[in-house]
Amino acid sequence: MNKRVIETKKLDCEVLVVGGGAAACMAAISAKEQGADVLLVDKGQMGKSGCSPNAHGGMALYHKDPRDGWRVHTEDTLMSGGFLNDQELVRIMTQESRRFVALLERFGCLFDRDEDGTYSVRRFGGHAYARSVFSGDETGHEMMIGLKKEMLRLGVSYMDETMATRIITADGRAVGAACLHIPTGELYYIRAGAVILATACAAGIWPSASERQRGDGFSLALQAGAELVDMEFTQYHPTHAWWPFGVRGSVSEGFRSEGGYLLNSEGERFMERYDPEKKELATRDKVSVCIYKEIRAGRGAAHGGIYASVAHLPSKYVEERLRVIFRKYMSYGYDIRKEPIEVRPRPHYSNGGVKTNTKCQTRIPGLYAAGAVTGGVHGANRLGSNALVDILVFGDIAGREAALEVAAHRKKPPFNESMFGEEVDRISGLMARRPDDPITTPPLRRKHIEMMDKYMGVLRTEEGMRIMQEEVARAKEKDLPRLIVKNQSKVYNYELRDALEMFFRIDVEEMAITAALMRTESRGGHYREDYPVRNDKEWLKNIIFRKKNGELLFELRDVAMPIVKLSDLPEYANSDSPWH
Amino acid sequence: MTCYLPPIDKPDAIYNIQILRFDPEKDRYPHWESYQVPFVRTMTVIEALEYLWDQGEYIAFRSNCREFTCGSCAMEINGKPALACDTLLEDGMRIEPLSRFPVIKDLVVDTSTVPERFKALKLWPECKHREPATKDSPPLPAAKSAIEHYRETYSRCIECYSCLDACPQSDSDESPYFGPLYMLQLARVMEHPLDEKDRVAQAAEAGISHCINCYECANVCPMNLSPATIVNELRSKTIRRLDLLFGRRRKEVG
Amino acid sequence: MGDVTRSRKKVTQRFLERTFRGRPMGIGSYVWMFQRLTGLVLAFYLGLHLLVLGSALKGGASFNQVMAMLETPWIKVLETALVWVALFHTANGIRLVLLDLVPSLNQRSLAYGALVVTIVLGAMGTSFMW
Repeated sequence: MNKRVIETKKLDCEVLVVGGGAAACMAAISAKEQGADVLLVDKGQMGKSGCSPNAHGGMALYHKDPRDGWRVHTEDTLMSGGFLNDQELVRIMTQESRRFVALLERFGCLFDRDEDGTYSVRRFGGHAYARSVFSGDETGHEMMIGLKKEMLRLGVSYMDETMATRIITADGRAVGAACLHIPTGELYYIRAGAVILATACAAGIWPSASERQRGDGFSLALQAGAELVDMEFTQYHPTHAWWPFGVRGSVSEGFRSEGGYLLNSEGERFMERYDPEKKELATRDKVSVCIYKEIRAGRGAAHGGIYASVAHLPSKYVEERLRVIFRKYMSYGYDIRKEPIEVRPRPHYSNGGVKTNTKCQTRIPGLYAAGAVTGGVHGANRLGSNALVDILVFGDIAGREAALEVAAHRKKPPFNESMFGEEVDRISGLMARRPDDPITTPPLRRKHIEMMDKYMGVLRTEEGMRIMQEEVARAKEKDLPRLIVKNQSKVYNYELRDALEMFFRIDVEEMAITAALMRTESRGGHYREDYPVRNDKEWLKNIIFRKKNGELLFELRDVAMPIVKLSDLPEYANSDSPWH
Repeated sequence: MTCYLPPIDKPDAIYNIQILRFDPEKDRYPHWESYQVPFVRTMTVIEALEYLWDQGEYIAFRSNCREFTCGSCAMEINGKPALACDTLLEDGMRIEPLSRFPVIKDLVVDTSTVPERFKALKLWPECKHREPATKDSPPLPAAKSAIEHYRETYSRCIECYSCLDACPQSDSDESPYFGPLYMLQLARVMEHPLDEKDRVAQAAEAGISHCINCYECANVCPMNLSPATIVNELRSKTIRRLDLLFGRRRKEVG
Repeated sequence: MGDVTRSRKKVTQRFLERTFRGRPMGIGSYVWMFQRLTGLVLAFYLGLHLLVLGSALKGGASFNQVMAMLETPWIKVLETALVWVALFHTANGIRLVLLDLVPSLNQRSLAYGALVVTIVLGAMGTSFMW
């Protein structure tokens, strides 16, 4: 066991940024502009990894309407977030965000304009006014091009395909990270004055549309001792492509608004039954719940989704009005005018995450967090196009604050050899161990994804979640110690990466289930069949997790309302829970 | 496995595919290996690779978004560079890494020279004085149609390096011609309202005259862009510049 | 990192591979290959032409001798081929110049146009010669 099969190396920097999306790049850029020596480690390739390039929508930051402003935006965000948001963070996001569109344009992006030369804005669901700046359907992509070029301009150093496996602390302070360099299989000890976590959220522990969001950051922060908040809230998109096999991405709202039907296996338009008025055009949350109810009642489609059909519409109409979806399926040789497709809800965001203060600091000094890995900005349910704003604003703040802190300290932190040694032993042991009844990652992961979908998906019940909780406890005790890595290669050993991610996954699952079991109400991205109503009397509280000596501690904290009180928004109290 | 997909219960057919394997720890040269994968209608190459991965064939390949927006999974499929997530699986397919770049392992190639060149070419709006961005900064002066053109012509490039691989004139980093990708990026930044650098001279220095008008880059582009047209437009600007008549040496680029 | 290899492909290898594996290249590539080949032929012909011309101009007797040799049908076939080669090379050369000057032109139609021009003029030339 003690034979060290992996090689180690040491690196030094002042600010270490973990992650490769827009938040990480923004943090690296602003830290570099403060004069810090920055290193960015990215699990994929810089500018290509993460979810930011896939963001299609927009950035809600341009309050064009004279009646619009940061306060209206804050109120919208709180309405959607079920008042669980950290209001100070929302205020910063809505106040500071506007300059980022100009900043990105200086980096080389250009966003769509109206005829008069001002930015054109879109209105997304839940926003009171149109305020989202966009670039066609590729806002995130455009943003990443600019950020990437700016990284190159400033000469920020970065390491591609390097995965942080543990935050190293000394005397209660984050002093670096152990990072696995996948191209060489070496474990780096990167010493840093401050560490910024800017990884993705954890939607990938469900059958997510994109499993890049594997929750690494959540687990890293938890292991380091930071606090995590709102872990029970997941964001679902109701109609994601499910079948034909291999087609990816969401089937946009347009499919339903242009007259597409959702059908169960009996060919019934089941939405007529649940919502006779709006039918397919009910809210996203409601459609998700109804689809799940149909699937659970055994009326799902052949491959486990639900049928979506436009066969009743004239084929000319489909070609013109659903051009994007039609072309997408046509490129797979599938004609949606003749055959129905299968869709099902898939998660694409987890609203919770690392708890930070207004300077992006976590509970651990020296450890910062920004972007999708943080929680608190979006509360229980995120508004469309708020995510890109969140990552830019807080990425910028995290980078600046980290650089300032490093500059104020000056002294290099000590090397914590014993903690790094533990990590080397852990990974070596994982590589070397050969138990009698081994298990590999792919089947275990598949099982967990399927169970999470079944018991912790859109519909949650006490008994289902108990089953999942037992499974997680069992996996933690029985499966993880016998998880093996068959592939002994050092170069591009993705199996080792996947096995390490399995450990992260169990941590995140445990938090999500514990929080979901605790919250006996339905709110935002958390719907319980046994408690289907929002309970503002008892549950205007955040569930906060923390790890101490290997034990998961939780705490209930009342939501502070320094800016917008519940009484300020009478329509909130009268509105039903978004699920109804 | 990088993405959760419904399990394959009843495959429509069993396909044989060949993959060029290379393990730097064992092999001296790459070699072909055959694999059998179940085929389901509309299955793409990336799912075949993921299926093999689940079966314990540890073929190294890059993949990320699977929605044609990241450009990580470009490889040569039957000799043609294409995105693995955008190519339907066929029987007897031959899959190999991009041949322009050094192979690290299996289908993974070393593309680290590309960002270095981006940096050498200064592919960001380069201006003497950059106004700081504030809350009240007005939008940069650009017309609506210009921005649409900018987006549709340049910004949709996902940097998958297919065009570099297809270009017969830039088959390595030592070739005198940098390649279509860089020309597209030069043209992109040239259109930006803040840019002041002489991009036409840069294009000449990067060997734009070596392009042979074969339009292979436009042929293989998974985003249906046409780098070749952009190269032609840039070149028509270089040939109107007398000071660039005799070209310049490559080392002066930057 | 271990040994780093590169499977750099020659243009001809790629050309054969793509053509015979159902992933044909665009007309531009094929036209370009023809342009190179015809260019080589023309360069070779230029040398040959000078050589023949030089030997023919040595005196009356040698002129007649060379002329007699050039009267054979084989030479005539080769000459016809030369006309085609030169026509193609010219037509495609004009296409390339046009593309340089007016980049918005459609290269594909231009390439087909060059082929059509070659065929029409070639057929006219052939009928005229025979």
